[in-house]
Amino acid sequence: MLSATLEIHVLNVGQGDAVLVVNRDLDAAKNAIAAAKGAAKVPSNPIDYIPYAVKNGIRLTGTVRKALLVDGGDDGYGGNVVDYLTTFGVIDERRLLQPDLALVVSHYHDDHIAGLRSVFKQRIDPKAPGQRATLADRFRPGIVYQSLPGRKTNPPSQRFADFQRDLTAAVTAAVDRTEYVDVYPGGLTGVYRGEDDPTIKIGLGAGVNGYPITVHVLASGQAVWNAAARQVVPIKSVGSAVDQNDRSIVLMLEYGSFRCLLGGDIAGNGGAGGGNFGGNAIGPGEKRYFSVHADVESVLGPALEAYFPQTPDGEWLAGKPKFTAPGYATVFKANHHGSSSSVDVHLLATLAPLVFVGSSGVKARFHAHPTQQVMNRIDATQTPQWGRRASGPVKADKVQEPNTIKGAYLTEVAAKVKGKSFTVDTRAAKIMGTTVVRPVDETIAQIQQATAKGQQLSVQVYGAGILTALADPRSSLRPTAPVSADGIYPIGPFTHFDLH
Amino acid sequence: MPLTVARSGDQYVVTGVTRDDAVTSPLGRRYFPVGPHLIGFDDNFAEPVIVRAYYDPAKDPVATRLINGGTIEYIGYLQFIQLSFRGTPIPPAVYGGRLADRQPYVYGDDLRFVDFMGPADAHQRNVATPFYPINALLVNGNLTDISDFFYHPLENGSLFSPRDLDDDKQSAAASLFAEIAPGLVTPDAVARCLTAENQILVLSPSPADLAASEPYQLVLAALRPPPANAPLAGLANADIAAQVIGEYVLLTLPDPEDFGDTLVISTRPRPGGGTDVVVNLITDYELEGLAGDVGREALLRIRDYQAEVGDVDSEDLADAPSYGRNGLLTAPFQLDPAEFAAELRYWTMAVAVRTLRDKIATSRYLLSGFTWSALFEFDEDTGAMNFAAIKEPAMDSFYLHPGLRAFWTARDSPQAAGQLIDTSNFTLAAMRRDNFAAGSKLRFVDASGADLAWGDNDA
Repeated sequence: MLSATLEIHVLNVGQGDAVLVVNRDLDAAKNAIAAAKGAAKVPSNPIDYIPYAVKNGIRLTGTVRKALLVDGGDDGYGGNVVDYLTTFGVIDERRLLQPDLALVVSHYHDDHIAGLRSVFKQRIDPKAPGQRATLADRFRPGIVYQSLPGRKTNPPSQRFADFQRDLTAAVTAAVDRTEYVDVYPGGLTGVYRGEDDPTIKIGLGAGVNGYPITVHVLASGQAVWNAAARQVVPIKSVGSAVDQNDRSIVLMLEYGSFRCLLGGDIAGNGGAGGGNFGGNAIGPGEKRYFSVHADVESVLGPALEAYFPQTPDGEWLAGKPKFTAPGYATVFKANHHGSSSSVDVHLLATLAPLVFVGSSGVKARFHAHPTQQVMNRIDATQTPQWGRRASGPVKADKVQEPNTIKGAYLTEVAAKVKGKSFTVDTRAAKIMGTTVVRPVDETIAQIQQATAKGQQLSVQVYGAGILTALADPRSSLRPTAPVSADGIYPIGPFTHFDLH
Repeated sequence: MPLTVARSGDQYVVTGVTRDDAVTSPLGRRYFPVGPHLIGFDDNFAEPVIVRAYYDPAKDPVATRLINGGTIEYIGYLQFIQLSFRGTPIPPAVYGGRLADRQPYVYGDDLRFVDFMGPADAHQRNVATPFYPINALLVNGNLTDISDFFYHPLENGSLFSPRDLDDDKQSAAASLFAEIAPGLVTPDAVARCLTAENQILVLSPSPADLAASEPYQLVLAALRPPPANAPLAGLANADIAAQVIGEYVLLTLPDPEDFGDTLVISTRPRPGGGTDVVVNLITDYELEGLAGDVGREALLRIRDYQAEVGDVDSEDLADAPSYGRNGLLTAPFQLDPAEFAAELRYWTMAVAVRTLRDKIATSRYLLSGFTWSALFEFDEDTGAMNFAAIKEPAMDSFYLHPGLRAFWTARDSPQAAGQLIDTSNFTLAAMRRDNFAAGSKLRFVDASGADLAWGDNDA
């Protein structure tokens, strides 16, 4: 018997980001299947409940304990995101307020926020002469988290203004009101006044054996919380202007010994300063003028190690999660869609991820992502070892860690854009469309109960296999991994494990 | 001397526009001879594209006869525009962007309008006939009488006078220098992106420097070597994309992942006198925020307009949502990416002002004209409405009076004082333009939409 209470859906929103985290009530899912198809049709493995229900069009409303949506892609994907939330039972289309749905806005770029408007609003097209299109209320999340807006840091974009208007309407409504939380710089609940841990934590309920599923907010507003120094470390802009990417909210999802890092569009160094050399580094011919992102990853790495220490020898006790290295994350969703200045080798060495997922594409604007450099850095045949950043007297890259990635997945990748071939070698990565990552509950429980090292943490990955319908015939996407017409999993599942 | 075309670098030029044979005047990257007219297009900047037209009266038998009859005072170009979507006329205010403020001049069921300064400016300057060259009044304080327009060169072209003015600078042809600036991004939208934080440079050039170079040329000179470590060291014009939006020159820099920043160059009065050149740097995201979805929003306005007037063709409407085409702003129409969905049609007309027999009254007489179009493709994947092609010019007739009457009505209406048209639509036609090759280059197509073969008239 295998179960998966926690689901991480990296939605295919082309060149954008939308991640859905679900805490599933598997008993309720079992009942929903039984009610729709009869008890005999319920799959023997609970981990198969949800793919089976989706494949068979079974309504999953009432099977979600808590859910978190991080971003919603660009405008064109907004309706697809809402459809997905409905299909997977996250949204109950019969009511306006969705109390169990939390929403995090990582930062204020269109490819992250524009699609979120479709959660709040729907367009009613004119049906008769004399009418005009209108926007009507659609849904309201239970709670919304976003970086503290500021006159000097708000972007000038129309989509940002539109989204803020929608949000304000939801949080000031007389009934069915959305709750709202300002995320202060560093992921804090407010101005830092010396608390031990002032960061925001988003509770998503409990998984197997009551183990909590918690989302830690570790960075925001161009600042990172460092638990060791007990201070908010500001990120210095490279130029004089605000770079919204540098202001991304960074989240670490934690469930037992499983973790997943969602870093929005933060960047690293891209070159030797981030441990990237040769084919891993931004080349000298790739000259950039004026602005480059700040290096958030080099500040985040030590902060992660401080906040998430390894389990000390002698403390491998039953009832606790266990980690063999500080800063570990089982799953790493590529920062900034796999741009060449993100996903530094130094950060990879800290995270030691088992699974890598990248969200990239062509629509609404092609940026040649993922880059060859990032695909090289994560691929074990190209980069078997990752150098660590400098630490005290130990120089950078002196300590080498093995490449730990066992599965690399991409939502979609361009083949041609306006007639020009996109030639990045994605190595062993699989193209999945929407990619669902689920830690296996039983392995999380085994690690929790263990008193010695060496327990397996298993993670299952499957794909939806649906790609963007591009309009321009001169542009095309690479095919997904083979899609099954018969099985309940469109692509996969693939299983990976590491040891704790 | 007749108008004669010659090649000059990557552009064509024309001689014979004044009495001085040595004087050359620009045509553009591609030109078309159409009857007694020469028309050239210059797309060194992605926007605006500059159109230049020259009318040679000596090649027009009608003009020759009238000139010999002694009844022509002068000849000039008038230009009219019509915006249409899939062949149906659309009010400019519905299309929006930089054309929206042309609404006061719209007339008739065909929704045409004269291409001229706004009613407020025309009223203030007491303009009798909206000859295109008269737009130069917006920038040139030396022009006080209609006869001041009989010389070449002027900012928006010249009028032709059959009288001998005994001046080598007398224009030997009627001409027009105009911008095609149909973009949906407005100067106000650009201004919203400019902050104290993203201002990176202020130059205080001398009047002589400003006379010798455009502000953007001064900025590039300041940011390129020497010294060798200058921010734009080694960057060629060919790697830059340029556009002008109102008073702002936007130079987009290259980037391997298409995240290039954009220099926004403008001018402002310097305290104590003179002019400063100001440079702001906006990110790719901010530029995207300006341009992204403006095409979709225009299509939504067009659909609303069609619904309001009861003119929705259900066959035009988009099919059910598909993956990635399912948003609040998703285009309501099913458009083929290669389709010229929107058309900005121009009529460029050589018109004579004639003295009537009583020697007091004058009349306007259409001599000869041609029509051509700016064609737009909608890119569903990016949401942009792209100025993609020019439809080749062809001789055409035109009924002047309704357009002139609409002009006079707007000019003299009580609302005229509040009806402004962005003057930069007319004032930048004379800007010296380097060739920025990274921007999109126009196609030239025939009446059926097929690409025209490259020939001797392509630079």
